[in-house]
Amino acid sequence: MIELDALCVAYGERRAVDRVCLTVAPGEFVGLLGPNGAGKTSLLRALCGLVEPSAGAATVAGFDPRRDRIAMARRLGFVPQDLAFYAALTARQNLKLFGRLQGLWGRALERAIERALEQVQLLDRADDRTRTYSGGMKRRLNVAIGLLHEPSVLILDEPTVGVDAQSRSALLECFESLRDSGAAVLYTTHLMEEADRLCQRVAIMDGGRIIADGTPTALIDEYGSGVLRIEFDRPAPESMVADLLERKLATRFERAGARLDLGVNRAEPVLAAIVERASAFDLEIESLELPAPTLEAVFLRLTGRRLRDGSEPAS
Amino acid sequence: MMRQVAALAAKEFLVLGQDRPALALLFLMPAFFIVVMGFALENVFEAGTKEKPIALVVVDEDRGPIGARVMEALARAPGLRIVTELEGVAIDRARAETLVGSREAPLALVLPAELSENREAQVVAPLVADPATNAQLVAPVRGAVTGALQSVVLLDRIPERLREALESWAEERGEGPVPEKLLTSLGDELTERLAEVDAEALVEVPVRYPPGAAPPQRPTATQQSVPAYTIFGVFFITLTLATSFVRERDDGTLTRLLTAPVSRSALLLGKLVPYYLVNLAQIALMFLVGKILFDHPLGDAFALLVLSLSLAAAATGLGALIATVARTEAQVGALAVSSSITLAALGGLMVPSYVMPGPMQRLARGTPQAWALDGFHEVMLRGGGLFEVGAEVLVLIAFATIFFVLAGLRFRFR
Repeated sequence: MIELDALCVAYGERRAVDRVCLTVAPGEFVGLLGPNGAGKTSLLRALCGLVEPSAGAATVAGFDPRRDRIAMARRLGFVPQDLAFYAALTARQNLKLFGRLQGLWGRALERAIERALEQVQLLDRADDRTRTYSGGMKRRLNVAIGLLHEPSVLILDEPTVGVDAQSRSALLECFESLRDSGAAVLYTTHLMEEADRLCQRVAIMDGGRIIADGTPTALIDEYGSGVLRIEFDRPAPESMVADLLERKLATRFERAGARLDLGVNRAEPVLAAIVERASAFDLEIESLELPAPTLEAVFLRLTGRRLRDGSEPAS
Repeated sequence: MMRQVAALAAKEFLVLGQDRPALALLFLMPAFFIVVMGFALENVFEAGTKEKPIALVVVDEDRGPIGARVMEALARAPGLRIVTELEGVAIDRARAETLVGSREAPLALVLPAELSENREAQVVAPLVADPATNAQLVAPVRGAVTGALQSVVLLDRIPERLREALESWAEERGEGPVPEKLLTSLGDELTERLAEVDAEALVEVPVRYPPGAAPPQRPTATQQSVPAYTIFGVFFITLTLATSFVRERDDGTLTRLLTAPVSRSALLLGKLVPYYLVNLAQIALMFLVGKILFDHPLGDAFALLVLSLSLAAAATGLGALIATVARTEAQVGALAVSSSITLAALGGLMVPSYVMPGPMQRLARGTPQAWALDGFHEVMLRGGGLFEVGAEVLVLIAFATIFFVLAGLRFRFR
């Protein structure tokens, strides 16, 4: 499992990771979301023992990433965002190298290679030089190397970036199978539908801090504000809208003639109140558009719509 | 750990094996360099020997006895081939100048008119040379011509000087004039006797070697240059090695290796050992080429091996250091190539360090190239053993240690 206790990573005066507390239990698939420069890469580098935390503590599979780097690395599978393998070698040669570094030899290594190649559907091109691969195949090999030694902790840093729909689908199926393997998985992505599909829990990071942490449903419930659009037979009275706001069923409103737009977190309680109030005011509801709150809406609400061009230092 | 080092080393060999330009740079370029430079410069290095005499066009404008004797002396001079006519036609001054100007002949000598007649004046015999003619070629010819002219002219002028000396002697003592008949007879006798003197038999300047440094056979200049080209090629490993480091840093494979359960020392060893072995293979190949093509002497095998191991360590260490200094592949290229060439020039691989000015010679001692060259010359050309190259071996190991320590201090495992 992964445990972070008030972890800080600083580059000079700048704190890239600021008192982050996070736990990923065995068998748990946790998404780490955040805009560019939020501190995700620094956090992952600290978890992999590539950078020294300036304060706090991190434990990966029960080991301190800096002090027990080698013991930790035996249990850690890391899939970096870069295509980190040798283009001059074949997929099998790459897997053989990284398998041997993980202590796999002989038949155990051969079996692990076959399994990993099968997992990412690269068996038929295993003996081709990887420089001849398509972008999607390269991504799949990048993932296979991280899965090769069946680690108990997996860190996947945007593993599907830049691939086509087919490769993404293959990779997501592969990741879904990981959920049942009992491994603790920390997954970063900018694709909210991926996080929604794969992650049992999502942590949203911004400015070096975790600003929200929970299941996708809980986060949507808490932060997933949408717009409920209602068309009445005539304009709704102000007292009716004031009542909804007062009861905190709506966060905001906008009226245009007989149309009323209400900002709502959850549609169900609002709908019941609307029906009841409309009846009280003798209004007829002509149409209703129900919002479908998404993780993306949660993300944007929490991190804002300001463009982030900043990048984190490499080290 | 050794298994991991072996796995990393195997990877390095596989990657290097795929990089044909890098392999060509490491093996073919130095071997090609030895072959091409060896054959191309053979005439420059060997010119002036009995086997490869320098062609000297001689125009005898004197056409008298002195001119004829100078021609005879030049014809006897080792390392010179006298050319006086072309296609059966005697070469005159204008034709000789044309031949040199068109680079059909490297040098031409003009023996001035009245050389035999005017026995008082200074003899001025111009040696016509193209401005681009190598000074290494001009100097020995000029020396041979000067020697031949001096000996002939001196011998010719001795009887006259003797006559003057006798007349002066008699006059100073009031003996009255020396009989002309006596003076003439003495002069003729002396001329005859001097003509019989074999000047070459009188003086010999053989090449001798210091005690204990006698080679089995005298090395040729080309043979002497093989170790220099070998060392030059060996240091090009810095380019390939440092490029490989920077490439792994850039493409993220280094990060991935660092997240594997591999100690940092195993990581570095797995990276450096292949290049060290490649270096040794380079040295072996280049000496083999030297042996096959130029019959290059190899000397004591054990001393040669120890010296080669030390040289390869220094070259690999320098490559590792450059890898930690350069941030991009372009920087690696600039640093590795410029350092290889500069240190080669400074270390006496291109121009012998003994012809350099004193400060440059002292500076040369600060390069591993100079120590390696000294060591190889000691073993291959002077017949030295391990004891004789102990200092060179230790200095090369010291260079390697310094390079590796600095690289280790600068290397960022992140």
